[in-house]
Amino acid sequence: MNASGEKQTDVTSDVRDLRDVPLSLVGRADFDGIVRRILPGSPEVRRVPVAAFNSSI
Amino acid sequence: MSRPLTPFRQFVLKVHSRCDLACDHCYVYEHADQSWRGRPKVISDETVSWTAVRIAEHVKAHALNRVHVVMHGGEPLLAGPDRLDRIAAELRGHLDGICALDLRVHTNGVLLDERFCEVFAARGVKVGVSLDGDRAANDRHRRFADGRSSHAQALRAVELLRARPELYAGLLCTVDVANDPVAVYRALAELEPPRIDFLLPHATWDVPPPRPAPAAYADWLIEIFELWAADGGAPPVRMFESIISTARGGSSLTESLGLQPSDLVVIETDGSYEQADSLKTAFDGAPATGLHVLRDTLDEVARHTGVLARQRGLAGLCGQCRACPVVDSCGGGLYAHRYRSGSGFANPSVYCADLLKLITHVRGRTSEPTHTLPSAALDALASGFGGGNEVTHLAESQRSLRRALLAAVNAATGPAGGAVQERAWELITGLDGTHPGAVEAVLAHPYVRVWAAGCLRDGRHAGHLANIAVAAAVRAGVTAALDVRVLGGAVHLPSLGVLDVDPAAAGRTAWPETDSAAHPAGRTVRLEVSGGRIALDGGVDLDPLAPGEWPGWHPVRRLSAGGFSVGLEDTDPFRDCHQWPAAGRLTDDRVAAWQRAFAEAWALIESELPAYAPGLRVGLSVLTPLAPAPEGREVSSTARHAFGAVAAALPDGPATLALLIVHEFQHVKLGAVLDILDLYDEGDTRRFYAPWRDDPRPLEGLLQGTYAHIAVTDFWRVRRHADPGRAEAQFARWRRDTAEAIETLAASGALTPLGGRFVTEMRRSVAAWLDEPVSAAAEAEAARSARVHRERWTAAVSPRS
Repeated sequence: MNASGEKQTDVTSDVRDLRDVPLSLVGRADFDGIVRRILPGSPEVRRVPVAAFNSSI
Repeated sequence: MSRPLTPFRQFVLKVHSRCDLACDHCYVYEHADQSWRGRPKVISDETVSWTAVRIAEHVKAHALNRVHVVMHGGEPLLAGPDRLDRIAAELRGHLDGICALDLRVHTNGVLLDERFCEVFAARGVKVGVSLDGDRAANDRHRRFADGRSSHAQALRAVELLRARPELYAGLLCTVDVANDPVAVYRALAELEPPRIDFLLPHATWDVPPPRPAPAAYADWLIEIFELWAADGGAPPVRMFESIISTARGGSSLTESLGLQPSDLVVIETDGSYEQADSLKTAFDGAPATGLHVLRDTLDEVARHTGVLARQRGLAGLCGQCRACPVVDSCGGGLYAHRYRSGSGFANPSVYCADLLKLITHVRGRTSEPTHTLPSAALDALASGFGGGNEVTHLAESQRSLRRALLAAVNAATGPAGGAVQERAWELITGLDGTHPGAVEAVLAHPYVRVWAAGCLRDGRHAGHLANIAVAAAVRAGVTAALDVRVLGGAVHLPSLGVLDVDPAAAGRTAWPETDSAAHPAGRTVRLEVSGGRIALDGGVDLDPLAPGEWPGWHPVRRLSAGGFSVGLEDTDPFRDCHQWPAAGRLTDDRVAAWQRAFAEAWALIESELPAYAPGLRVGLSVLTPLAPAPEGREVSSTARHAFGAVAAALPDGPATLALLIVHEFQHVKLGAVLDILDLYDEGDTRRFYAPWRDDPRPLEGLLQGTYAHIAVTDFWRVRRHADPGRAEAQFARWRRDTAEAIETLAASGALTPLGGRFVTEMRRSVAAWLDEPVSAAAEAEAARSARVHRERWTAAVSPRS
């Protein structure tokens, strides 16, 4: 609960928490999902690799 | 048709067949196989030579990049230092140069002294010591024939190794459930071993182990596992790590668990090839192959039916094992432990109940949590802001992404990388256990992820892993030596700087990617690290954190202001990932100009845009200079994989630099949110109007631009006091355009429920600003420019008749 009595909730990601997993033990089951997520292979998925800004400001 | 044989990679070389202890749990002397009685006490030089020849021909035939040889006994130190020196020299003479040789000796420690250590240091031999725990535990079995304790001698041996950590391989502890598991584990952990192996005592269904409770061995090991987990998984315990690894789809780390085919063979003191030593517990003669090192090749041994039987994985297990939910981690346990007269090895392990309980427990305790973001933090970020706490959540999730990417790179490129990459991976994973802060400091450098992502896409620059490992070793202050990758005539150490190794390359402003087609292996140099210093053959010896020691070393310089500091990254070869080219190495004058601009920009951010400062302090780690912009333009950029980096050409004034920083950091924040949460349908390929672009934008581009322009709007909103005319016009323009883009996003139909919530919070921020008064002229000009841009855009994208 927060100060106003509103219940605090978490938004859950499907990204595994590997912070405390020894690097030597990070296996395929751990990294496959993350690699698929941040390096999508589908041509249908277009990522914006670079957020570029110019003098339009 | 015969299937391809599995080559051997592990060789147990029995150099002495007798022992100076009389441990009553020893499988060599106390179990079913008594073949030791007929063997020579000491291996002959001829047998050693033939062994080396056989291994070398096996290495060549199967293109093995690494093999492991353990000098074993009995007690191998009974062979004496001179003979062990000859054996090690013979093995190295045949194998060094054709593969990496991991050479070890496994001893009870009684005879270990400086003389042996000198030999092992000279020959690159690591030493493992058998120790069953505290004195009470060790004395239960590990005694001299006259009953004396060997505990003091074993401890003395371990202390010798702790003083020479390069020799210290680890401790092997045979489990006895009569011992206190807490005392055993604490006694072993206090000795800071690089690894602990807990070994189940060899037993079969014919001669089962003492079992005071139905799963007594699981209970004993689980008690230790809980201590180990509470200690953060250090020191490494192979059994637990293997269960965790296999549960995650990785490899088994021990022959006693998992489904991987056995690749181990024993050469006895008489030159006989034998199968796994543990088979001595099954029946007399069980390990025998009838083959001999003087007559037979290792390929012939690999085709032996007994060897093949241990390489069949799941198919080689009994029905009960094949149906077991933990078979991936268990693999039926150690082959020898399945033995029962009559049915042979077609049984579950005699430790089946223990393995099932232990593996189930470890899996349950290490099931993977996923990242979460408190709803309030998401809303704060969605509003366009988010302070230190919120950005910390994002930065923490980036740690997982980097670790996943690094492991993926190693899995994808390790086999082709050979021994060099294997050593790099060993170094970095070892440091991850002993010096996690040093590893994280390097991995957190923004362009490490850029490198990893690129490497996974095209397989290039995999050798850079060694540079990452060396950078971590420098930060950890440990001793290490690795062949590191040279790019563009220089060795780059992420987060530290770059060392010119080719004088001709000094002063280059670009780093050509030339190592793929023309030089598939890539150029490397051997870099030695010790106490935070780096040394290179040819006389280079420097402290990379103490600039000026070596003219060819170019450290990452830092910009500081108001107790905040960022790296000015003009060294990293993977920084050139922005839309505009990265600047080359800056002169001292240009660095000074950056420092002046940064100090003023940061002061402006803290005084006028204070809501952005805490998040920047947490999340902005690097400013990357871009090549000067075309006349009249300011350029800046953020790369999706470079969390923590903002790139920019040095603008004319500090206020513009402040704007560029807060604007680009919006992209950093949103990119990190998108890394972990789905805000829109990635399969939606439509393009949308963005008021600040001449080209139609995909939804992500529109979302990114809109989010960034919340900060742009806010910047001009607060700048109205300092630059009234210009700022009011800009504020009027950007609040209008940003609000319009938010409505485009909201109406797109492509947002997920979470994305809808995110955009609602964006709207809440901008809507409040729409109520702020501006002059009629500014409002009119904003409306006019919006209309003109929209008309021009519509004309440009409409089909021509």
